Amino acid sequence: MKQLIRYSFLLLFISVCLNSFSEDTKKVTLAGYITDSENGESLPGATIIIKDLNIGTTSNSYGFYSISLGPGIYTVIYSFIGYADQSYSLDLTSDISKNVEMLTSSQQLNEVIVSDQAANANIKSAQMSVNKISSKTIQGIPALMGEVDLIKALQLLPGVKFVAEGSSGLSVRGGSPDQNLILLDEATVYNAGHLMGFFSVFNNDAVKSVELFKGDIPPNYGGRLASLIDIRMKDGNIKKFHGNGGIGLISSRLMLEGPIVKDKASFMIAGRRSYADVFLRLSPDENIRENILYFYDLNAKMNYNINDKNHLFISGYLGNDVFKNGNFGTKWGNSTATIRWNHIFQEKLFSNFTFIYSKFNYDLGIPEGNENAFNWGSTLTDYNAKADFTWFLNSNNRITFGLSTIYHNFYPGLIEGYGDESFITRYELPNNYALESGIYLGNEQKLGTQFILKYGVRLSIFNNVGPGTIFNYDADGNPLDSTFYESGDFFNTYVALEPRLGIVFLLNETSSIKASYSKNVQYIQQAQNSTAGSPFNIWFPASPNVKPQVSQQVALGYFKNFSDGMFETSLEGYYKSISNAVDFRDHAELILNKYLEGEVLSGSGWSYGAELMIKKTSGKLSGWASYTWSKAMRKIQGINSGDPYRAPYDRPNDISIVANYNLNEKISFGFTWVYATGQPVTFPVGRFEYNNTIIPVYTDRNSFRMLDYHRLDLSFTYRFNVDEDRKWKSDLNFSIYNVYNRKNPYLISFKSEVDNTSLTYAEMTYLFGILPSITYNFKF
Amino acid sequence: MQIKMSRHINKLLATSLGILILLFGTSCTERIDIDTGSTYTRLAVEGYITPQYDKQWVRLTKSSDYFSNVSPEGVSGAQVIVDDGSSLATFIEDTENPGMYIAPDGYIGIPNTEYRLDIELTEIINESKSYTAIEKMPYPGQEVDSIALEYDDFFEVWLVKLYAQEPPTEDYYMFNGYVNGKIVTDSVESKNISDDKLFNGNYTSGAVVMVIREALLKEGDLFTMELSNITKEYADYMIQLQLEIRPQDPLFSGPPANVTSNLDYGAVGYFSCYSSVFASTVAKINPK
Repeated sequence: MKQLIRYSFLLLFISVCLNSFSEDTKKVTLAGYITDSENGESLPGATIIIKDLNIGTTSNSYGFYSISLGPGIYTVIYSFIGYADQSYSLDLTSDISKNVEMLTSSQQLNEVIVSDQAANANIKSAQMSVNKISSKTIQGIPALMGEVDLIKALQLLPGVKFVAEGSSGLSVRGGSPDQNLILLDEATVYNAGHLMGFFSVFNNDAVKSVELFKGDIPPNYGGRLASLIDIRMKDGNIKKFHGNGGIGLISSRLMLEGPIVKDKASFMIAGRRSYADVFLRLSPDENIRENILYFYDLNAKMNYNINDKNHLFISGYLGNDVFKNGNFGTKWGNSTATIRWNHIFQEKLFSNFTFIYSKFNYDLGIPEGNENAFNWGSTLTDYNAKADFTWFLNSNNRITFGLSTIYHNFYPGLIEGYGDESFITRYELPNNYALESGIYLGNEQKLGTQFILKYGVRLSIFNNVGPGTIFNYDADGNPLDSTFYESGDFFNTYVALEPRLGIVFLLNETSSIKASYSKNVQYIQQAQNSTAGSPFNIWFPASPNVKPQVSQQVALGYFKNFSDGMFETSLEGYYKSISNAVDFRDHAELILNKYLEGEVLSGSGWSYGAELMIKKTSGKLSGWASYTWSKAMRKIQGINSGDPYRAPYDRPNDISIVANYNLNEKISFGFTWVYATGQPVTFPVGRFEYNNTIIPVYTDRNSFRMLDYHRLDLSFTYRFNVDEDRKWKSDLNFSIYNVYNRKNPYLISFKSEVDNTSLTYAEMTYLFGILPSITYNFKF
Repeated sequence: MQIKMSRHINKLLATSLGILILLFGTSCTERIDIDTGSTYTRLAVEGYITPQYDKQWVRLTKSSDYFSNVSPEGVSGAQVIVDDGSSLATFIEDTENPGMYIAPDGYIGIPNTEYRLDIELTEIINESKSYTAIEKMPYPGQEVDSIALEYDDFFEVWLVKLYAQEPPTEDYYMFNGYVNGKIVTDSVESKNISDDKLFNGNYTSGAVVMVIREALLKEGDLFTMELSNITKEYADYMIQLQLEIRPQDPLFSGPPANVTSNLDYGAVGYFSCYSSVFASTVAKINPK
């Protein structure tokens, strides 16, 4: 099978090359950047059509496009949803660099005139299983406690489920939260939640757009099974200085952007800080008063257009959560930094050279000066270097290739007592290191006018690197002996070939059928066995004891647009099978465990489902409605007696309705209704008594379900100063979370009566009743 | 394997979650009606062999459905025999307490001995009439130097501080407490179970090993700590029990699962053998 794939690639690739080289006529290239005329932000996915030849292309994630034609005079049309088309008559005799600044049509809320091309770009796109949301859309969705949240918006898309109320964990097509590759300007974000996950770490003001790839991940990315969440920060307004911000109940934020040198270099900086602890200080209880609880995050980016062929980007993120009082303290956070040099070779080869640093760490303990003072800390640091190339070979072929390597430094935990008197011996889980690399090659090829073929392969290589100690375990997970590997010793290697294939069959201009197959391999995973997870769940690598997890997904979909692209509909089905699926033993000890690998059990997993989505992209009323039916199962020796059991994310019915209604320039409403079948859970069926205590007895894992979840959120925004020429514009946003006060169970516990321990009862905890909030937003 | 400190951490983490929830101020609990159905009956065994005269017994009961809400039914008429490798002892059922089988007079457990429990029932429970368990009583614990009690104002509890030399071997401990001779830790969640990973071979210098609620211990009371040397398997069993009965939360708790047992044929419970050392002190609130 692998041989077959390898040979077919070779054949296709050779035919493509031969095809282009065998042409007699000299070609010229038209290339450039497509940007927003107001702020200079690049526009990815814009469409460029050569009207006379009826061929076209789209701009890449950096807004760059390139198209090769025979010399001549052509009418070239540039379009992008939300912007007015631009048409140029160009005389191409030699390579031309043409940058286009698009004008928004945001003033015309009622009618947005878009050409067929831009409107139906989704039909022709070779990529399926993908959803893209702009930060503007995210802004319009009613938010928990008024905190606009990118991750919560993603949870409203088909195929995506939240893992617990208020959590930042996402399950994509039955996958677990650690199977999503979350990238912020190419840097991996390991923990995407503030305050135990109730709010995401992404400040929407700093975000340009987010794209979610569900399993059918392009070959330039690898390392996670379920999804790629590609979040891009704003580059910074290169034309003029501008800012926006807001004051809310939980946090306040400010974003500033502007040119450093007009049209040449720009910056963007955004910060956010919570002040919930201010309310704690008002408590009459002295013990509550001394609690300090806050989070903050900071996003910064600098963008420098050295010249037409060279761009430099530097971006970074820093965020932390802090909770402490006199007796206990904990802190956790991420920091990332990305430097990218973008270079264009001869208008046809677009290249990026990127270096990325990413760190996640947490600390927890009892501060010095206390009895039993100790500190427990853990860190995960990544250094990543990558080179990515896109070769716009001709109008029918866009080839991508590149390589990437990540050096992981895992520091799972160190606990030590403070002071000479401390009786706590130092307990350390030593560092371990790994190298995760990938080389990829892919092509997006148009065959005639009806077919688009997307094929690619990623070769991934994983090495465990010394110094490190690997334990051998018996069948029960007890450590037997160990082997120590010296520094620099590449003592274990895993290699995998990951094909990513897709085909689009264009039925007509407004509808298509797409199919895809992709294989993904995951080399690092999180030690999490709780439903919602916490920041204290460490990441651990594959090793001689833990094989890499592998998933294969096939998907088939039908896509149709109506009314000139005003309505986008899709019906997509998928089947995914996972080998070496990771789960943990019953009563696994995942915290501070030197022998963590002994707690790992692996087996197989499978999930399948169908996702129906209807989206209205323009007009006063916009939004989407989606319904997902799905199943996710696992079968692992040592769990549930080796019988198949429902994965924790198996929730067959999932409905999301998200709408935004712009009544007029001043007033708009937001509406969200979600429904999901209750998640699988294990309840006690029997009981026995031991030492005067009732002990529960369970039968099959996850054979029961929690109550179904549903919730309605509403928001209302009133904009001030809309007509005036004043620079300072503001709005007031009221939102209500859980409008009809549905008691969605967060937890169901089983207890005994205090006065008669033989009597047991079930108790439900629900987290949020009806929660109103208000936010004041401004921009200048 | 469970480390005492990580459970301490878990309690602190759960407290922080509690504060977060308090912060949002809207979380609530309420009772609900759930019917979880029924499951087959299992034999539940609770047995102890120790060097103390008053504590050798084996209790046999039946498991029941979770919401059956009745006291467990004792299993009568069974033959309960304990074999210490050189002799057999038949435990006699207490006529006033069906299901409770008491050791013969004068019978005590001896450290470093392997004990085998054989149960022969009069009727089949879960496809078997015979059940067996084997447990070896660990070597005797070292004497402790002393304990001290300190009252903590913030949490309103007494901290029991231990002064002892921890042996360098791999040991597992269970802590029980008595106030004026009466046990105050007679339930699963009140016992403290620990391995020795954080102390191994060191002098404990007043490490806090137990926490007694203010309601149970008053100034002037005599407090006695019982430190028992238990097997790793019994420590795992007790820790699993504590995991199963303590409040669960979606952030930190793993999925519920059945507790392992040292009995066969799907019986639940445990047949444990251990020896203890004792230390006492009188409770006094020290002026600050």
